[in-house]
Amino acid sequence: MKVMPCSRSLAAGLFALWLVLGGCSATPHSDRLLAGDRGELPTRRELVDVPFHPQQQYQCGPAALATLLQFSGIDTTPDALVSRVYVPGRQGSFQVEMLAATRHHQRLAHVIGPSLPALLAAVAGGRPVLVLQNLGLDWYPRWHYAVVVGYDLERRQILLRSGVEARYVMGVKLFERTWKRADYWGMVALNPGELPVEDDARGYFLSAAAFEHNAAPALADKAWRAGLGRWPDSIELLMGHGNFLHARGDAEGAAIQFRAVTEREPEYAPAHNNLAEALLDLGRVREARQAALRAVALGGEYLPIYRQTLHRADHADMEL
Amino acid sequence: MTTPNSTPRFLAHLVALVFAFACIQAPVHAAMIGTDTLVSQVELQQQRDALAERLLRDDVKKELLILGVNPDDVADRVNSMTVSEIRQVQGQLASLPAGSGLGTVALVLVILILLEVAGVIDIFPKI
Repeated sequence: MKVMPCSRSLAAGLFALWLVLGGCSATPHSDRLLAGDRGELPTRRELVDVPFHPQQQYQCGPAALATLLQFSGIDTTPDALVSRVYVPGRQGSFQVEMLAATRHHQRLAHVIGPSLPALLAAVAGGRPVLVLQNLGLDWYPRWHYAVVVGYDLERRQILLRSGVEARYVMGVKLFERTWKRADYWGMVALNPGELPVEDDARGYFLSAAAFEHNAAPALADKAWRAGLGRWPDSIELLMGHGNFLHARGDAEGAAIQFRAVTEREPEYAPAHNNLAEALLDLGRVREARQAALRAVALGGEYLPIYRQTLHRADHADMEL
Repeated sequence: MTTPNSTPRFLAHLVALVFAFACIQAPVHAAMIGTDTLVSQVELQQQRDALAERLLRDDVKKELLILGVNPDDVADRVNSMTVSEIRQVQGQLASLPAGSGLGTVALVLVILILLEVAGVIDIFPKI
């Protein structure tokens, strides 16, 4: 057997390089998908109607966001978004600002589940996904935003609107490595009333709660109702919608939602407390007192607030 | 009955009686105050939360200003963030991922230098 004289140092060098460059470059999601474990996911899908905006220097954030928002029907441009998401001192854009700017445009910003199957399911469901990638290395990050618009599992490809490439084709595994280094972060922009593809009521609750923060009330209501249409038994969504209605002055609608929670989860004290508040607003003092008593009896972290509610109910009772 | 002594004794009894009542009443009185205190404690906590949130937002605004964001845009941008988003980024803006795009040339250079140092290539003869 012929041994190259330099093979040992070459091997050592390559090992060092592997440690530095590829030590953690496993691609678990791709491996599973490519091995055929893809559930109901179609083999390929490409959303050809997604627009493209080539990025100006360092401004992949505004470009990618404009792509996503335009596709969801918002009339905007990368230039118009620079003042909302670009940070000159960092020559880039932060994830929270991508989410906040989406909501500012009256779209529900939803972070998808951190996995390749979730990403491809969203695309297969007709939604482009804005992803953060680290094109560099963990210790030498090159952060980049792009929009995934398609995939082909047979050809092992991910299709993106990226940088100055209108249709950038990336190998699935390479894509996963760059995406994994950004913790598999991806977001979609939903029209109020649209739902994410994934079956995750809590994830949607978080997105809807953030959306409500500065959305037009009618749109926020639509988002809550859409969620409840799909997950009618979600405690979080019922509470969220109840609180929304209560804040809008619809105590009757709120009471119905809080009551629904108490029927599904009788031990959940906050629902009894909020039900009591809504009933007090409606002048149904006796029922309110019953609900407040129940909340106090259940106790827990917010006991002082339940006591306050009961106190209010007692006062209202005495005034009768 | 000796009248000269009766007034001080009566007063002493009265004082004792008042003290006795005060002692009996004290716990009842305290419990009532307790309820009000509880209410104001809750309210105080809420006020503190609101104040803390405003301070956090101010912090993030300052950080963004330092990073060159237009002063006219800062308030609107920060107000679009939720409380939990503000908490995530506060004090972190210098190190958080900021997607900016490709740095291909620099990256290639770094890899080449690494390969050189590892003794795999030899394109920088002076090293």
